[in-house]
Amino acid sequence: MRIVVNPVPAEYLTLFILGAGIILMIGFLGRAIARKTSIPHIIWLMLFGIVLGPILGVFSRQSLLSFAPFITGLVIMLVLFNAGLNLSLTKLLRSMSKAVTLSLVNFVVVVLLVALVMYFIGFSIILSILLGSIVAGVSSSAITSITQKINRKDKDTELVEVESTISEPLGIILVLVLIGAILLHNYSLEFISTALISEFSIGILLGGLVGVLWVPLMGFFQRKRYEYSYVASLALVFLLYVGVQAVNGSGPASALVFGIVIANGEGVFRSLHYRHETSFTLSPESKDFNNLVTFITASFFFVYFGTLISLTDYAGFIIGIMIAIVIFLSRQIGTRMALYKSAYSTQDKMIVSSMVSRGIGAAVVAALPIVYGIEGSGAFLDIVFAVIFVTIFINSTMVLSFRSKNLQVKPAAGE
Amino acid sequence: MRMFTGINYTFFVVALIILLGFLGDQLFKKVKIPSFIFLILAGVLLGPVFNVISQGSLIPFLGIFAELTLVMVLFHGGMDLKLTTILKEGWRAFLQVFLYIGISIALVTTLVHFFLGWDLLLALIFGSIVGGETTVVVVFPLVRSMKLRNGTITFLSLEAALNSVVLVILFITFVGLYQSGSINLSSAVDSLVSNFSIGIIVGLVLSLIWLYTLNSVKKSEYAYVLTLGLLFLTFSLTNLVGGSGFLAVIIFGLVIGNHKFVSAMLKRKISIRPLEKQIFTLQGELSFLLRTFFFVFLGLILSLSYRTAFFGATVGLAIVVILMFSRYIASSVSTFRSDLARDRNLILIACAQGTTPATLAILALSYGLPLASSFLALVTYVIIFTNIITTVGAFSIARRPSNAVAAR
Repeated sequence: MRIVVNPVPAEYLTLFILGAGIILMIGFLGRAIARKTSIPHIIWLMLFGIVLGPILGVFSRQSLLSFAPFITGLVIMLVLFNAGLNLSLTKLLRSMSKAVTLSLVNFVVVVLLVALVMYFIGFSIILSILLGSIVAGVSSSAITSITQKINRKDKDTELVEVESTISEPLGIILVLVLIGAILLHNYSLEFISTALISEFSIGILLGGLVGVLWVPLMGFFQRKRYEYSYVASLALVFLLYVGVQAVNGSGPASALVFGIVIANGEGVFRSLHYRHETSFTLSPESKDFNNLVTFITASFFFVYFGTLISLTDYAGFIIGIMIAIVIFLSRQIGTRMALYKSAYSTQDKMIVSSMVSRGIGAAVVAALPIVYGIEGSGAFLDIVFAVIFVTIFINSTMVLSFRSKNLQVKPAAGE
Repeated sequence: MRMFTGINYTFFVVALIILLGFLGDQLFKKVKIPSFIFLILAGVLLGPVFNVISQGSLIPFLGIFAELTLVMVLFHGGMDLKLTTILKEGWRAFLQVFLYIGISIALVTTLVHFFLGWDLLLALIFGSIVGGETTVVVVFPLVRSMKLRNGTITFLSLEAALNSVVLVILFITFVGLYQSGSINLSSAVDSLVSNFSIGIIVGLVLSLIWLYTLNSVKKSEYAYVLTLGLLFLTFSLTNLVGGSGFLAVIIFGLVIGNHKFVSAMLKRKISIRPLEKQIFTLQGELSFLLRTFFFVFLGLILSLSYRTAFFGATVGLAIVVILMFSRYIASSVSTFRSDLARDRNLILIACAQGTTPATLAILALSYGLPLASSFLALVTYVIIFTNIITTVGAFSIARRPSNAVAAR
């Protein structure tokens, strides 16, 4: 009958809750600062992680790395589900062709150029492509806070927002496929492309199907004023993620598509010519709660990511700075290629090409190669950390320079 | 993707637990069987029966989980206590809480001290765990569905909000006395008084600062995240300066929930009503998730051996008899010569226990108190039995012709 317990000292419990309180406050204050300075809150959270990890040594990197598969899995699922919920289908369709072209061209150019640089530095081809894929996606949360700052709700900012919601998930999914290929020692292009297409197709199909089935049920729960119907959607994402992975599909893709379908239920059913009397729109409270859950989870994740950084690896930081510059240059090329002969003005193109911030998409997969014991990936965490830091710095500086040149950038509300 | 196999398994269990909590909640609304029973049962199936989740993997996290849940519950409870309502019509609810808790703790302590031979202080700690909670999540929907008089609803709501707060204060008092070693009673009482005074003063000062802070950022996105951060800071900072964090959290909840009253007293224009509403809703959703996992954990760590089951069921039953007896006396006195007396039977059966005793029992376990595993077994049975009494009692009262007419 007796359960053997090693009592946890009360001070540890208190310190744990103190840490949680500080993280939440940094998250909130970071967002407030972002509104004034265009520096995204993730920077402060990562810095706090560095203070807790490498500087004060409160947590050891090795013990924290053992939680990485669970933490990254959870964060990937929540972030993509939230990205889906916040993606307006009308917006997506309006800028679909340009946004898809922009994200694919930029994505491919970044992967290729980063891989090239890494290969010349001395990494193997597959590791170079893996790192290229990790840093290829533009961060949607960082972009949103920056576009909020420059207060432009024009077609160019909408284009970048849609681009980031495509390229960030694309990066995550490609990295997972590449890690799978490395673990199976099958590097053939045929295997990787088939796996990518097959996993994407299964994920999109099942995510869409379950979403379409869930929307009327969710509408019913909301109409009947069932409490916690959002919580049921969350549980369904977990089940869908697991189910899709079990049939070799992409769980992240399914979470994203499921989110898109339930957030745009009304539009989806209208396009299917289905007549119904009840509302199939996700309630604003559900959306708010999901944003909150994702924000809190992501805040804790960035602190966690900061604790994993090793401050002694100068080579990693230097490579990261180089890659950030390569990303910036690639974006200039990619954007001009994708928007060639388009209706976008030179000024629009300059704004679009300045949006290079990397964030949660890169951070969340950066630890996976180390966790799965992929040889030669030991410096990835430090490289990615430097990439996030420098790309955000470049992006913020560009925005500030636009503002000083008064490039049609109106002052943000409340200033 | 094969590499996430272990994670898939965890996600699957998490999804099942959340779904079970959601379905249990809907089932409760339809058939009035509290979801706690299903959740504990699910925990028993996942743990002791099929061994899907091992107890050992959970134990290190239980302390922090219990402490977080308690901080949330107390903050929510504090916000729900409206000082103006208490001052106007709350004295009967106050009387009910103090009589019910006082009598039941005295009798439960007597039972376990004299019949089971437990140390007096440990018996008092156990008494404060099971002695007199009525859980908001079961009692509120139940009283609303029974179409009761407004006075009775206020009475039961106040009782439910107040008793958790009183029980936690008693629990930390007795644990404090126990941990001080009881070598010298006067010094133990001194340290306790200082712990409480610091808790109240620091809690009050921080809460007032936070109130001003929240008032200035009330329109910001994610102001709730800041509130949550401030809540955790209040708890931990008060603890670190030697005060009672739990008391400080109750005060923070009271100040936020009664900000109009506070601002009138301070002669300042503070209005955070929309934020307060948002905090209350989001806190409800987060508490729902925490509660759902909590009851599954309770089932997970329950021992199913014949000896434990027999011990839990018999002593648990004796405790429930004591609780009903105490509640009968308390409700008879507190509703004497009032309209509330007409709903006395319903007040009597609204004894379902839930989150507070479960959290306190697990907290006792994480503090390493001797007999804590017996506390846990007994608390589980008391929760199950009291929920059965409330459910069956509500059914039988609703089926009486006079009540059916009233309900119509």
